[in-house]
Amino acid sequence: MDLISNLSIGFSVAFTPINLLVVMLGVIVGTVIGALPGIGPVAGLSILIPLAFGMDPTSAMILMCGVYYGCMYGGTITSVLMNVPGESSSIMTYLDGYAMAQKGRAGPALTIAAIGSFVAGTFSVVMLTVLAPPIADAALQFGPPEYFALMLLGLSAISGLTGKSRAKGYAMGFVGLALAMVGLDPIGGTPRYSYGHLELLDGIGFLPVAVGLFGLCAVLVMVDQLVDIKVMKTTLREMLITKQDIKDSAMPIARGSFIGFLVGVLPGAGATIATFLAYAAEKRISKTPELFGTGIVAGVASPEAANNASTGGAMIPLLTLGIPGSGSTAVMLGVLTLFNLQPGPLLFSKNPDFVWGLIASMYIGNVMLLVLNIAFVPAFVAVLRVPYRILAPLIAIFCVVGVYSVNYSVFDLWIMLVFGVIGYLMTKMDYPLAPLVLALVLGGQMEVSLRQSLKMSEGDISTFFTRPISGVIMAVVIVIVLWPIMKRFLIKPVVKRLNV
Amino acid sequence: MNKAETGAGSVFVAIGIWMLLDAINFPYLVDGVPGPGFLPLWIALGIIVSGVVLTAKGIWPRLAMPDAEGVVWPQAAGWWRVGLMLGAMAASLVVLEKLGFMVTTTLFMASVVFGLGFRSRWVLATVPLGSAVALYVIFAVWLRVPLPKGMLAFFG
Repeated sequence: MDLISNLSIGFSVAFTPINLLVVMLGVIVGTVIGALPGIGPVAGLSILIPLAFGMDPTSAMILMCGVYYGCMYGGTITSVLMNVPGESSSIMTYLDGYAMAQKGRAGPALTIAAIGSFVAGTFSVVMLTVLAPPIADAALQFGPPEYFALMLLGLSAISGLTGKSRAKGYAMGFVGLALAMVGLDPIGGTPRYSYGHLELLDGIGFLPVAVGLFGLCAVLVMVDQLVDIKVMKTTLREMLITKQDIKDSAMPIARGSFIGFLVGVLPGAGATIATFLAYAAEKRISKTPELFGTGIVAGVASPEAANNASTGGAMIPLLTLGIPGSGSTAVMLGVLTLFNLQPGPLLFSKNPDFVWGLIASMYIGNVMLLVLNIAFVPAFVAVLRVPYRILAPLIAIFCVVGVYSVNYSVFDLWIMLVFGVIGYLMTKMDYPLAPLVLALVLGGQMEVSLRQSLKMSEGDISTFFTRPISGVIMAVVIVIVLWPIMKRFLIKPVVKRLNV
Repeated sequence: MNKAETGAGSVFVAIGIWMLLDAINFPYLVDGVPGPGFLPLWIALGIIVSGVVLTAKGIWPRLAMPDAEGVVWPQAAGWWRVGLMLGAMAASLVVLEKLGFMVTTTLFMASVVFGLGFRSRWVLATVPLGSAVALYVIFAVWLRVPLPKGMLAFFG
């Protein structure tokens, strides 16, 4: 009953004309951003912060979420029609999607991807609706040690599990934490690392750093290659699918939805890993695994379902615990803090209109995306034909206005420019950027939780290990951090012995 | 030895040492519980350790992942375009408040679009001005962001 009344509150918020307009704008812009190669959801979200900042918090987050899951749909268009994955979570779709297009089945590939995305997206929002309230209730019992442990888990997972090198991930995470230390000490008010600059006393803002690292960096990567890619044409008539297509895609969509949602909830995993796992699982189950990569329906349906299902999953730790598990949700957390909204268990009791309006808008957004991605694919393809020589400077200006619009500060713009250069160099050298932003967003709160915990325990660090919930979380953190050593000295010898 | 990786690792070590030297000036403990210097000190040590590992991996590439690819830097033309974009942005930030958003954006767009290879006069005339006007309408008029007016301030 509670669920129904919560959802009815949510739909009454989501169905207001302005919020319907905003969700439509979000999903359209998200689809376009997802379709543009080189600009993923994190960059897209960072670039669009200025638009969100001019709105009320509910509309702003509805826009951000629309962009987030819209991006997942959009990546498919590029994968199928351009032979280039729009973003990393579309890599697996591209294997079979483009192969289907080469066989003259681009339309059905896009339709199956849209249906799979819709089913999975809706499934993940249903799970979010059902699971978020009890998790938020349970989290009300959490004290500073549990919060510190959770933040440490999010940070160590995203630093240690994303990217090709753990050392690079951890280095970026530590630098993000270092940046979070700039400004006044959150407890005693001691100025740290501000070197007498008034602008630095408030700390380094998340916005200029995120927009520089993701938005401006995407622009620089775009102009350093500047490749004009050919786009295949497709018409509405070609989008029709057969009964066999539906039969072939039904179970892969169901399995992809489940895997995607589970992976989405885990910190540090994200949409890309969800698609890899879903594709691998589908290939393993299939009676004809040799056909994967040659253009089969299951190879498109499963990863597309997985990447969309992961979005709803990723919203659970963000909304219920205030802990983002990926770069995209870290940016969303940053946006919430710009509005002075603290995500976490209290959000559900203090701001029900906001939370349930946001969740309800996700149901509406998924329906909109299904229609848009079947009926309006030719229109999205037309956008892809805008030359990068015009698009790149336009996005750069968007970044500038975005950062300026929050504090009206040119100093922030310089920070953005510096981090754009850093982000570009780091991207070229395969350093993951998400740990830095996540650490910057969480750093302040993490320090407060750490110091409050140690104050409560009179300096006894065992408090993190003796309390049941924080103890379990800390154990997981230790496993994540020590995994390479454990693998080398404990697991490999055992496996080797068993094989012998 | 991978010079780029070694250099990046050394930069991390330098940042860590810099942070450490400042961190030791803040009180580590206050009344027996962590003070403002507690976390910065551990973060600085974390940066130094990560930096040392990265430097070692750069000096002895065998320590890095076996399938790790080398850094793919852009060609000369790519560097030029990146430099153009950054230079134009830096110049725009310098003049933004003096010239105002409309003029700065128009000049920025025109110089970058031209620099990136567009020679069509029609494009060079319409795209920069059109973009500036469109962005001004969205942000200054619709979202009420007080963008700098600069030399056009007399329009009110």
